[in-house]
Amino acid sequence: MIKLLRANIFRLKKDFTFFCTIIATIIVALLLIATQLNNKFNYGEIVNIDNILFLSPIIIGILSAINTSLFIGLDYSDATIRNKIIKGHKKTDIYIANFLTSIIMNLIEIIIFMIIVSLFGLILLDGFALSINEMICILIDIVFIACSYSAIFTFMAMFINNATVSAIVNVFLIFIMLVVSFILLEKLATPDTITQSVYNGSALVEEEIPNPNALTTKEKNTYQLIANLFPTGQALQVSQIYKFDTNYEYYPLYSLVIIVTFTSLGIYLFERKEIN
Amino acid sequence: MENIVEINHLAKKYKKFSALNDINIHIPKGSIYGLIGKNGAGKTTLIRVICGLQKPNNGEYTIYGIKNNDKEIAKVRKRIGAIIETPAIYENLSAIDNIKEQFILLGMPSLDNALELLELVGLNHTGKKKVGKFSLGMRQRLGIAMALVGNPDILILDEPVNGLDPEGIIEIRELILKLNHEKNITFLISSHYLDELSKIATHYCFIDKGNTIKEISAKDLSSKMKKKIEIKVKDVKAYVTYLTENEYDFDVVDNYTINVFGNVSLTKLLSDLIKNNLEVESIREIEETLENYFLNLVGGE
Repeated sequence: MIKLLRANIFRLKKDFTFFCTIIATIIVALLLIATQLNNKFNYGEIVNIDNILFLSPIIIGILSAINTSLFIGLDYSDATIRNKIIKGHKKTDIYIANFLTSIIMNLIEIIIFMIIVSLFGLILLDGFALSINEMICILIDIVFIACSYSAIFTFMAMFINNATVSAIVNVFLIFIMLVVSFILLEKLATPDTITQSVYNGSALVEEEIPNPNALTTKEKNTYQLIANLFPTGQALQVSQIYKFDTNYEYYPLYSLVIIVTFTSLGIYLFERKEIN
Repeated sequence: MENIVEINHLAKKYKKFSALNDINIHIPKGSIYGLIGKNGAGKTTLIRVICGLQKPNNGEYTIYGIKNNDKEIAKVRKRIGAIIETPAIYENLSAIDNIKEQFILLGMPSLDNALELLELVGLNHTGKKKVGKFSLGMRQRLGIAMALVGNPDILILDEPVNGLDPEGIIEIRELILKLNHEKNITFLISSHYLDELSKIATHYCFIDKGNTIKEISAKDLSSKMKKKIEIKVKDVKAYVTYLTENEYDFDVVDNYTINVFGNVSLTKLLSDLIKNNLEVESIREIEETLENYFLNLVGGE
């Protein structure tokens, strides 16, 4: 499997698509910094580095869908997957090598993003709002989120025998996951009570009443569970856009469910797949 | 002679369709083994199964004595190189990068010999040109170079000259002969270009509808194909008796046709038959080609 991984890395260094997505990562990082600086200087907002730094898993998700699909899909389009099997490499090893290569691509982009944001952020922005422990937890979460993306997109790419179709499907999938995650987290943001103005006979007074649209406890737990399972749901929460479940130290467990499920199912099915 | 590959009663089904029914093949070491069959006969399916891309439903094969379901087969596969249908090469890489990638895949300790392989197939001057811009002949040659990484003992080529111009066909033929003679590489080649195959093959296997029809060495085939006299008669029975008694080498094609092989004078044969009151409807000499032999074997026009 090491040989397969080394061969993938050799190919990755010459991969034009990966190079383009690295450039895209750098551009997005710089644009986000520019936007936040505009808010800071024109509106006097306090802009912490965390506001941008932990947006990386949202951005990387979309790039991962493209990178993983095209990199793995090329093995099918160019039929080079045959070479690996003909020379005696096991299908399990091929699958895992592709999965690990996808993780490496994601982590490289995340690191580049964070380095750029940190360098500019430390000079131009207002420091960190989160504690060091929280940041360490979130960084570990981001690594697991990257692995979750790789598990899902590798699974799809290994069974769609066409690089272009695979990329379209995976990009569609990431946007679906983002939309579903947004909806769930917005629902979770529904307040339990609302303020209503009531006439008490002499004057209008405001009183708190239960929100009829509020979620029940069961619904909250279910939505939170699904949001935590989706890598995009975790990404939105670690980015500090939504703050419901701040037990960041438990997020890797949800990611592990995704990683183990997709990877073991993928290996099982790939072993049985016939290669033309 | 030692058989490098042996295939016994191999069968392969795709849902209800039987691509292979009963394949039996014995490939001697150092041979150039031609696999001949119509479209859909099962040639490519057979090659895919031997290369490990697909699993057989029945039967078995061995490579260097190791069975296909043995764990050790993975090690033996490193001694095989193959091109199946089209060369499997990365179009976005150059020729040398494709070879290097293959070197890394096989865990070769050094990439130094990569250029030598390209020299062998005449692609050492392609530089950084991406394979996507190569001609078909260049891709075929690069495919052979890729298959040669790791110094395999067996090269399996599925339709290696498809789409090539006459010059390209000659180049591939000469390369195959060179590798076979200089490096003693065993070849399994499936091809529709029977005339081309007949110039290089040392053994043949004819398959049809997933079955082995005949396995024969080039030498035996040549003696059968050299020349024949086709005799059309009213009833073969009397002729069979005469030809058997006089030790002719012959085949009864059907109730009205007999083929007589060997260096037989047509005039003498005709005159002998007439002397023995054996009427002949028509008689002609035929120089059989591999194509004719194949078509007679499997039927067809």
